Amino acid sequence: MLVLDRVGKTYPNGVRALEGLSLAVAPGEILVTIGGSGCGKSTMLRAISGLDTPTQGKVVLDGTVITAPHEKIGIVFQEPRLLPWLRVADNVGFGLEQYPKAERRTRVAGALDRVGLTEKARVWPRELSGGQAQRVAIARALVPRPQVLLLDEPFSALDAFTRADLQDHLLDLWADFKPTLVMVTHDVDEAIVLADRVMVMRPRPGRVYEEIACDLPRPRDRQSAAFDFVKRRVLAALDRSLDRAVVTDDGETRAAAGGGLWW
Amino acid sequence: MSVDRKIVEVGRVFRLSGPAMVRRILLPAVMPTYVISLRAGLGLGWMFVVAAEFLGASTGLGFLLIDGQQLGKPAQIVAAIVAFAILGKATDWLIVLVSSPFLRWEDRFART
Repeated sequence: MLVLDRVGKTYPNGVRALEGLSLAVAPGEILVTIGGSGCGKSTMLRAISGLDTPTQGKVVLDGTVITAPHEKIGIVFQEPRLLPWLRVADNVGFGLEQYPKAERRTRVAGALDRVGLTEKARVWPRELSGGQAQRVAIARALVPRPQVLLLDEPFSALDAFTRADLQDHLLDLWADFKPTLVMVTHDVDEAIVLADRVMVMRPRPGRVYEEIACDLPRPRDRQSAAFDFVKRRVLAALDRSLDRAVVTDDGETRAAAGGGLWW
Repeated sequence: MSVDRKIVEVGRVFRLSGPAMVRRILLPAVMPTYVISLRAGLGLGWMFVVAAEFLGASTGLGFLLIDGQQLGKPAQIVAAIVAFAILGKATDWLIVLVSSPFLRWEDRFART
């Protein structure tokens, strides 16, 4: 169980990026966080990952307070961040240095097979496409079998087709050993395809605005009416979080924007 | 020489110790800049050696240049210049040769 207890982050310049954020994520749950820019989504992920320490409150994973990067927590960034001087296979095995060589090799081969890049094992990262590189980054984060995987807008730099492809692929990989996923995104469709729970955040200071359960059966059809229903709810919550709600003639609050992408 | 914070964070996420961070992240990251600096420094080094030999040396390329000038031996001057060029190019090539296995990952235009 991953617990955030009244986590706050104030930067030295006085900006309050996050305030009083409390949250519990069950093992194996997929939590997707969405919100306008500057609402502290990335700050939250960095606090959970241990890369940054919160100025108030604490992050606790199974009773351990997280103050530095932890072996049970993996992260995938917006950019693949592969090490350009290592071949793809060595990048995937980067976090397995403590294992004997033979085991490292089999685990790397297995992970590459899982992301469908076996034939790219001996290639340099610069020779990969954007989607391939991000798949390698996901494999690198998953190969030590973390209990929690954090994803910071991992697909936002990809084209729509590759993005949908990787969303399905991520669910597929998640099903292997069901780690807890905490993901940050700008894309409402992406949130609803993946999430068990969508968390809408609100900026200045960053805090939770609304949580929307999303229990549609998987695989989810992006065109279905049920999908659309959840999407409207999320969009409406987003608009309210930014004080941009539109009230219709019959007094009903409705989303001002209907687009799939949320910037 | 500076290393991208984003790459260093990868090392932090995988909890590299100080020495491991240097060996696995920092050194490879500065390698290209390091080799460039080495090559520039080597060229400068040769220049200073010859310049120093202008001043009262009794052997060396600089001495041959001064000697040729003062005693009117143009062939000797040209020979010294050519030797200087060959030495410089050869040692530069040596650095390239030794460093190239470490820099094969670079995305460079000049590939063979």
